[in-house]
Amino acid sequence: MRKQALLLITYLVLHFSPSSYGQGQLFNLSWNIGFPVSDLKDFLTDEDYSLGGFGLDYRYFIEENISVGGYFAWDFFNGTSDEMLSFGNTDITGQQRLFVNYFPFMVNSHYYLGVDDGIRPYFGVGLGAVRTLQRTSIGTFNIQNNNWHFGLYPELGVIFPVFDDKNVSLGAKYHTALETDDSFTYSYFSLNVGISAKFFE
Amino acid sequence: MKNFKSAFLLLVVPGLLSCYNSSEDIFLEDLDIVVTSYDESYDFGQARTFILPDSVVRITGEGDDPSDDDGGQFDELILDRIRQNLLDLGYTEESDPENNASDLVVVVQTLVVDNYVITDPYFFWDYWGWYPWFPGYGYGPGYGWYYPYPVVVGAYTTGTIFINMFDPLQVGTQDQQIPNVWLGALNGVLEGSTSGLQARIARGIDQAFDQSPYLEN
Repeated sequence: MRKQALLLITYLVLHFSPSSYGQGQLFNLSWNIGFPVSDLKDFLTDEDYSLGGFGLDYRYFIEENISVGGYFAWDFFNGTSDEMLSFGNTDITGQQRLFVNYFPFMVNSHYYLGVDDGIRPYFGVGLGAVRTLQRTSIGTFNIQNNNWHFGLYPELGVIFPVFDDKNVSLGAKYHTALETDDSFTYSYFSLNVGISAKFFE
Repeated sequence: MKNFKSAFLLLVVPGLLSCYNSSEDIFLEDLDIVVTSYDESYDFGQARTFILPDSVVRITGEGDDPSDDDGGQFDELILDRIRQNLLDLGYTEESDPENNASDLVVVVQTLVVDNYVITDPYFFWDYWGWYPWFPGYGYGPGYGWYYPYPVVVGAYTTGTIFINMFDPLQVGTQDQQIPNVWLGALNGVLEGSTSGLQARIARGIDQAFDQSPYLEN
């Protein structure tokens, strides 16, 4: 068993080693524009889009056209509602100020078309954990509902070479954080405008 | 390289601006809330008359700051507004309560509380949306001062008006307590001009009755 594990690790190291393929790494910083849908849209009530978000993407090329990596983002939404809250025989009115912070901690993989130094369309998928921080403020009172979720996103995008190994990227993701016992499913489209740098080894 | 710098600026500047989300500022009246609750088993349709005592009860505690007492400057407004709403709903005020029993008794209480906010302003810990530095979010209303690091201190005073409605004939035989058949509670920040507070109180009382259609007689 130990021998098999050692063989597997050796294979993976050799297979993914930059010296084997020399494909390099890519770091991407993006500004994220979010468009909440479904239950998230219902919660936020009047939030059609949010300009508050950024993402960090790391991609390691295991082949010229395949990368694996990780993604972290901080996407923020806020909305307001004047709808009356009713709990049984109790009714509450007042302006509700609604906040959501969304933090995906993902591993991802992408497949690229085109060739190095050219325009590279790509598609990919990310999955992992999502931390959501949800707050409803009404009057001077706050109700918080923070949760961990399993989350994923499919992604489409294009990388445009600009100068040397610096690039501009445009991408779109559809984020989903699955419901938990205490929370609804979070879903939103995200447009990502980014800059990236590629490093060869 | 120049193009890349331009792209960087195009990316970063909107990103920074987005931190200062253009959401509207919060006004004092936006922090007003009205809560109503009622006894679902009580038949408001059979009640015809009410009594409204001519004074407001103040809920106080030991060590309360006497300067918080508004001196009763809003009592008349509060009582008149409640009376008018009850009359509009079709109830009749009992003019001789000492000799005639009434179906409902309405008792009004007020409570004033000083609130202090101490929070750590670390960027990450207080989160984007309600971070105190971002306009429109997270301010403790009427906040007073702050220390740049590491503590933000704010103070504000809230006031609550309780409108309690009882049926005086529903006295518990065991504990001799009279249950509330309806409660309206208005809570808000006690800041702003007198006329502003008067308008908010009147609006809150009206809202308490508006959101309780089952009271209609």
